[in-house]
Amino acid sequence: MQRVKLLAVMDHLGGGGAEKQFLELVKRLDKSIFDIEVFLTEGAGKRMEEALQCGLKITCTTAKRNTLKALPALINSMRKFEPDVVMAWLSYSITLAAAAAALTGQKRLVFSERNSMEMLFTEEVRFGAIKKFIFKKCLSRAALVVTNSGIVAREFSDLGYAPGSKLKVVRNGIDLETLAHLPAKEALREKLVIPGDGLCGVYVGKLEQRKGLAYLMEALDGINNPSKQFRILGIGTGSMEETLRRHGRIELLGYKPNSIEYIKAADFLLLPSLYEGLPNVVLEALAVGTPVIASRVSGIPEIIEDGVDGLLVGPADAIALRAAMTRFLEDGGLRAKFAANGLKKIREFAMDKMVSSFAQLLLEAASRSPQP
Amino acid sequence: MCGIFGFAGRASRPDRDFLKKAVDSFSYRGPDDEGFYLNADSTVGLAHKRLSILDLSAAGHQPMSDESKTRWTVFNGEIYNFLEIKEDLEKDGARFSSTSDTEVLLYAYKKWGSQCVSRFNGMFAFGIYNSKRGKLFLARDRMGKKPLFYALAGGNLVFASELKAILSTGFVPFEVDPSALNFYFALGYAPNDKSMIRGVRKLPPGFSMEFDIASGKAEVKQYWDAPAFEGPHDEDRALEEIEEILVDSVKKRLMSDVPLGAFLSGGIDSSLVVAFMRRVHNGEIKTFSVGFEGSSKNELRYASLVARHFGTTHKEIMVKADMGDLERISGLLDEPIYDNSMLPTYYLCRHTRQDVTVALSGDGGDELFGGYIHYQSADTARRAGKFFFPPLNLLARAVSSRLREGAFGKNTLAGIGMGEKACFTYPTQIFREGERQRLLSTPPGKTELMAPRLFRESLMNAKNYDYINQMCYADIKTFMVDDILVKVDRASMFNSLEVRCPILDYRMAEYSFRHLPGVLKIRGGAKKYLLKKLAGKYLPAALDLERKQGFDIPGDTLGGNKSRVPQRLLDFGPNEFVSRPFIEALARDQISGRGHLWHKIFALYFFLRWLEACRG
Repeated sequence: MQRVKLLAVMDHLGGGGAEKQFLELVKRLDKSIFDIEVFLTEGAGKRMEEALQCGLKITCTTAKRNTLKALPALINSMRKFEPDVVMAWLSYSITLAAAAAALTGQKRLVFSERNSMEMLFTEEVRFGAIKKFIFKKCLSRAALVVTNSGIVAREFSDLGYAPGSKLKVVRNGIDLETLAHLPAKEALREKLVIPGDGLCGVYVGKLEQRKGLAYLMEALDGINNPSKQFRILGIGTGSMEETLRRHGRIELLGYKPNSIEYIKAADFLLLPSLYEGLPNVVLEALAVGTPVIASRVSGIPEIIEDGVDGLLVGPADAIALRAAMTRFLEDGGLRAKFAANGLKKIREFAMDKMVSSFAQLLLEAASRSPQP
Repeated sequence: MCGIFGFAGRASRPDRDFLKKAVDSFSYRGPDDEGFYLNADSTVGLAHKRLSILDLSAAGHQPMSDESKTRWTVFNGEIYNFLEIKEDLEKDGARFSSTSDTEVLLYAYKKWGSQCVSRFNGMFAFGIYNSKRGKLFLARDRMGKKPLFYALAGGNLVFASELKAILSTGFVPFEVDPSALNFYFALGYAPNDKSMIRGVRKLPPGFSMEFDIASGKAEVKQYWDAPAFEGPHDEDRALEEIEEILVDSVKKRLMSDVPLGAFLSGGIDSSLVVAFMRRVHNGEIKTFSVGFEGSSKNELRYASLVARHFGTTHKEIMVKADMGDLERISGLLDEPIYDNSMLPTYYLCRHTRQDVTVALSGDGGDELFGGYIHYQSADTARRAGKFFFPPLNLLARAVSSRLREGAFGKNTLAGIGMGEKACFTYPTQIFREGERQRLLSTPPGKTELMAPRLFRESLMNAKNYDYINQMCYADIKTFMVDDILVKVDRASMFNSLEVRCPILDYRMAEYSFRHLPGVLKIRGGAKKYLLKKLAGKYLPAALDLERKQGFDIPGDTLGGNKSRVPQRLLDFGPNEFVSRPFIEALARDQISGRGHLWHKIFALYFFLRWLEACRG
């Protein structure tokens, strides 16, 4: 049987969560069924090396959001490769792919957007309303629109971005097999030089305002910790680094490729975001048995059930965050209970499940008669 | 009703002058008496300014201690059920030497410890020093009627009724919190435990705090929150229940050793309070109204109609809004709290204080029973958004942005096509995200600009309420506590008047969230459905319940000159927080009559005036 030719379009292969999911998907799709070419509209990114090692065919522009460069290159790829299906992830690549598809007559499109419209096109985005309108037009060309959380799917259907019949939810996946081989928590603590006596909370992610770090600082201000009974580690880089350093309550370790080891070594994970998609770090924490305190935003409540496998707090609510941290610091039993429940739940999020669901949808789109 | 201040910690040794300086910053809160307490090694100091309401004798002097002199308290507010609690305590052998509620507080704390707060029905903020355990206990009432600020630094704690008392000690430097500033220009106040000053926090309503002096450790705990919805009551049952609660809560609030009256605007809430006062009290009832010369929203006619109906001794006054008064009040505020009815409320309090020391008001009716127009707008926008095609949504937004502030339909149109929660939180902002990005000299990132409404949206998600109740709950937790109640507290305290709000009795709040579905609050586009039913039963038939109500700052008439406030914006010197060109453009638009921007103008005015006053 002839393989399905898939052109997978993405902004770049940077360090973010969506990029990771994208890469895992194209890596794991069954190559006896799919013939895959990857097109990056913005540039390479941190995970490029890893992608090349897997033998993926990648076309990478150095366009950096220069549409006049990227669009012709994408059209060229489409003409040469003649894909059966074009899959594009995230708004910029979706817009380009839709434009290129219109110009080449390509009609089998699967688009995956993981962010809420409200967050993508906020008021201060220039020409936000027009961009939103164009994006909506682009989405309407797709055979399927895939989101990774129910909340974004609901928003798309409520606001008329895509009809319910075209909308599919495929939740992020996580690589449980690799994680199972991690050393034990105590060994990791030793390796990472985290002293074993005090409790340790960890934040993993970009150091940006969007992540609600200002409220984490506020929350920490209200918890006395004179003799260092606990410490909070911050892993990642970003624009708030200097502010956090001056504040001094979060120990910044910079970007760590082995962040998962820190998550496992820690006693709890903090994610006080104002906005998220469906954050991988929360899945990772559940998978390694680290209980989570996170904001009740975006897709997070679809992973964490408050009071069952973690604690949810309102975004921008330092008081609630402080109260949740205090509960975790004082109640080891609660942490253990959440960890146990999290380990059970995480099986729903196995990476292979994500890949097979996506593969199914791609095949469906490929065999579907072209959209009028 | 008073002002309180306290200090605890090993690091510093406060003296009497230190305490005196702090309470002098809010001397209007308590003109009748003042008192100070310092423990033996000067690690704890308490200070109090008193406005005498109950037990006018010296026995009511504060700081007050129990008979063993191990527990000392400073208390601001009223515990309405103190006689019942006192009886319980007396059965256990407690002997009281005064008739004040403060002494009951001390013995209640002695008996039940920090749990005592859940027994109190009232409005309060207090601090209790327990010398035996080396702890300081702070608490604030459930709805947040009385203010309580605190700061923790270097193992010390300072707390006070007003923020400026904390600043006056020099314990915390004057440094504006940029995050609070972003929230202020979005909402008109700094919500939750935020204050405008970095390092100073508010104890939120329904919270208590225990401070351990030896370790410097503070533990903040929530002891009350609005309950989850437990199932609807039908209309008849609901009317019976709220009537029963209202009778009792009015009765409890009539307890006083000084002359007492009521505000009467002629609106549903204050009229109902007066109706129930008449029901439980046979003697004279004094009522007070204020109207503005030249204001289009003159409610005096309705107020006197209600007054005649219930045979109250009614006084009304016509005032001319004066720029000098506005300058003085805005300079006294410890935080800029933008509210367009600050000045009218101030005049009403000033006028009322000439005859009485305590007044009952109708506050809380709008938040608990769905009385705001923004609930209607959001509900309509939410429904419309589901039917409109996206291009029409864009058109609606575009039309909205062309309409002047406060124009009919503006907020509904702005909300159409937004997410369900954003229909409510987005249009009700003073400066929206894009505007704040231009207004603030160092604007935060795009998600942080959204933080104020994300915070309010998360409150909507916090419980199992329907849409109307979600909005009411978000308002109770933010708008009511940090705007409405602050306005009432400060406007009354500047005039040494105590204001009591029977509708805000916590039992009413609990009932309204536990058993009233949204359709009993807003039905068929009509606000306050249930309260109107109750009003129909008790208020004079000639009172038009559907008319537009409320009073605002008569910006147009202020000082007889339309452009006084916007002109004033141009007089303030430059500062590092807000963009001068943005303000100039805004003021010019208002002066030229191109814009109707009073919300924005006053938000800026109150902030700039506050900054000016703080920096001397």
